[in-house]
Amino acid sequence: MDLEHGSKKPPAAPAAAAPTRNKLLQLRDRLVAVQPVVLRAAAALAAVVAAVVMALNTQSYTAVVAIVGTRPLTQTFTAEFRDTPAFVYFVIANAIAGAYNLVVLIIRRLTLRRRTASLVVHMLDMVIMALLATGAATAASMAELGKNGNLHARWNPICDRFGSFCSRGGIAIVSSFIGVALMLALNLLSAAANAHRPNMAGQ
Amino acid sequence: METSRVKPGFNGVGAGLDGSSRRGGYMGGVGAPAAGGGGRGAPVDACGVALRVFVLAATLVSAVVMGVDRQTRTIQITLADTLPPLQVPVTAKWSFSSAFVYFVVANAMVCLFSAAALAACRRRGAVVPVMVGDLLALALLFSAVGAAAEFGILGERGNSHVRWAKVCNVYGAFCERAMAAVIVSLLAAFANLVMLMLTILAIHKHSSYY
Repeated sequence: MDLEHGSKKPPAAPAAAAPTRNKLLQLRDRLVAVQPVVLRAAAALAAVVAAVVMALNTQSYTAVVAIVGTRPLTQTFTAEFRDTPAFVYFVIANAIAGAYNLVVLIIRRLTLRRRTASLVVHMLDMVIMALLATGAATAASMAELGKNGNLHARWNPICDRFGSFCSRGGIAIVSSFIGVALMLALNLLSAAANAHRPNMAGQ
Repeated sequence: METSRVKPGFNGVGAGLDGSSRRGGYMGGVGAPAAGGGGRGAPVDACGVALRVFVLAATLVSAVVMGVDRQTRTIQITLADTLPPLQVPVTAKWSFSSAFVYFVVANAMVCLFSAAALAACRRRGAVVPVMVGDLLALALLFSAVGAAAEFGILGERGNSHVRWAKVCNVYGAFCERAMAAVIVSLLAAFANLVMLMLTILAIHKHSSYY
């Protein structure tokens, strides 16, 4: 490995393929050694942030709806995440994903059966990633309808009236998509780490 | 654990279930004699032909069913009592909703990828791109199902808080076809998930950590 020889170039007999291949191997080793803990902590953070921001997302405004005699009648319009099953599912899915990642972070340090644990965690990672993807896409579909409405279904957009509700919801959805991407990277990392185990004897 | 060294690229019959006749690397299906996902021996086939064919077929079906989904109804509008009611044709098309458009596009992409993976998965260097593509296809399929199902639920029930009326009482057949497409795509997504799980099992079996 190049770690022992320092920056000396390997002999040029295998032509240009050897230094590139060594660099690729180095890069791969470095990527695999980036502890999956960092990725998993980031994914947990993203999912928890998404769940919390959406759960606390509420906005209300008061408008005058009628004037009776001289007294105006006001009504309060509220938007919160419970109004739509899409956002409810979004909060639940992100809460499950965040809790799962936190539990795995804690438990992976304690368990001893490495091989079974890593297999089960890898499988569950995929399932949780699918769940997160579903939740994020559902909420994004609802958010897009809320922002643009649908002309053909006669559905009016609501983001002109509930501006900060929409922007906070957007932040939550973006955070959830980041969580999906991080879990995808985690899956790939687990696959790379487990696939090349017999080749890396020292690890 | 006895390890019989076999030549790389040669898979004896029945060598898949125990990991002892194959060392090193993750190459499930190279040289495997027509391991079509069932048959004799290797369920840990890196190609997963049967499941991949099912994903290809199901995504194709759901993309096509959603892509030809339209319905035209004539509704009657009465302007005044003296005039006969107007017959207004109204149409529901899949392209009126961006969620359905994303659904069709995502299913088409996964279908194309499945075809490419079926063509290329016997090659040695194609293992990593196929797995990366499988994971992306998983995310794509599940998100497409989520988005289209959300639009379908809004069409079925409406939303009272936002004052959105339901649509499916008018466009019954349109909603039914869309729902069928979503369900078939969900089956394809689960098949993709099972295929990935089998691939992960193959990886873990062939890596001798102990």
